[in-house]
Amino acid sequence: MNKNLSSLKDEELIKEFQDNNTIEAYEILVKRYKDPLMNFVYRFLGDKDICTDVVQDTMIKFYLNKDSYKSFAKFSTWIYTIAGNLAKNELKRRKRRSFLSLHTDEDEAPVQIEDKTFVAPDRYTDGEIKNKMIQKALLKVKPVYREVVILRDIEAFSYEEIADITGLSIGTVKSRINRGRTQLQKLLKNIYKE
Amino acid sequence: MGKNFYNLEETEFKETIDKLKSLPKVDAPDNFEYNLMVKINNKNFELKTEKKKISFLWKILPAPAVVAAAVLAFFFIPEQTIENSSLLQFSPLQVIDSAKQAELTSQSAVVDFGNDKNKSSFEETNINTEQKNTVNNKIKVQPNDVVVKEKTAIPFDPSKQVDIDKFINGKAVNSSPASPANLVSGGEKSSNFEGFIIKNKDERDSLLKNKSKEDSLSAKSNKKGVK
Repeated sequence: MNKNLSSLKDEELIKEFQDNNTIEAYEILVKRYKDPLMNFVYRFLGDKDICTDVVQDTMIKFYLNKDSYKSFAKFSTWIYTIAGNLAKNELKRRKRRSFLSLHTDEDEAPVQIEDKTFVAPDRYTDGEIKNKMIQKALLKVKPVYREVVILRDIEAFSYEEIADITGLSIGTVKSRINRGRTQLQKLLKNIYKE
Repeated sequence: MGKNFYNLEETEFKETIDKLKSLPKVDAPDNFEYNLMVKINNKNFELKTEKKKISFLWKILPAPAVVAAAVLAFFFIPEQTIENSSLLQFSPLQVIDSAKQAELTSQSAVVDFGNDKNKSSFEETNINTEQKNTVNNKIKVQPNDVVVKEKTAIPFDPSKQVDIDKFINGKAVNSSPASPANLVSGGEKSSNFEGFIIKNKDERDSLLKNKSKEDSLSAKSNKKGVK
């Protein structure tokens, strides 16, 4: 039974879950989407712990609101919409918190304890440093542009799919991707020079 | 390792797109599914991200709550309850029934009557004037559920009252010539200076004349009534 379910498409699995409340179908969908969603949310928020919470919440929302999925839509766009909305809410909350907080970031810095797993910067590979810098630059791009750039260039969605996920028109999606890339290119200039 | 195909608009950002595509994939932690299924089996559907939102609201809630409570206290707590809040600040009210009080006053009047006729009449008039100056018009329920009729004073200054009979009988003494009221009532009670006034020296004689006139008129009317 489980083997048969694994061979089913996403839309067939969700239908099975909706009609017969088959928890195995749900589990297979979680297995398929946990990593892509994790990658998407991490690139958007830049924090692994919060990112895990957001993806967990996405899966819980999927479990609770399975009936709100309509068969004419792609399952991937539906679950990415949930994850994207939760990630955006989290980002807003963090901004609000930092705005209202009386402490500066310096005050909130954790106490420094010797980290034995620490690797000296000279031992970092060139690729690792560049990856960190790209992620840092990506987080500096405006969230509205960042979301579509990640969906297009990292998650490799089509313009139509991105329009479905974000609820925007294809024209808006294209222009936002273009603006996001331009911002990112400026930020990454220094890396290219090296 | 397939070849990347770019649209016309994407060729401009080829390098940026390549950099983004080369980023390592971030995977979910190993216990991700286990934790999720535990939550679902325990029906613990509380969203972590939304929980944080609630805790944040709780942090900012006390300040407006205190302000709201202060405003409510200022506008809606009646003055009376504030007055009664500390019983030590006020002397306890005497619980005396009005009927009992009247009985006491009449008893004292009767006792005095036997000793001195004039004195008793004088005291009777005093009681009468006191009774006239107070009225039982306020019913008050005390905290111990005892109902008391409170006497409220009529706003007339007793020093300005004139008892003509007393004056004619010669019981009044002119102690303070400053006040015309004291001049008549005997000057037993102090009163404020009321300014300079022209004194009428023949006041006593004129009052006696008026009194005799009044008496004769009343006698005539009584005779007519008898006839």
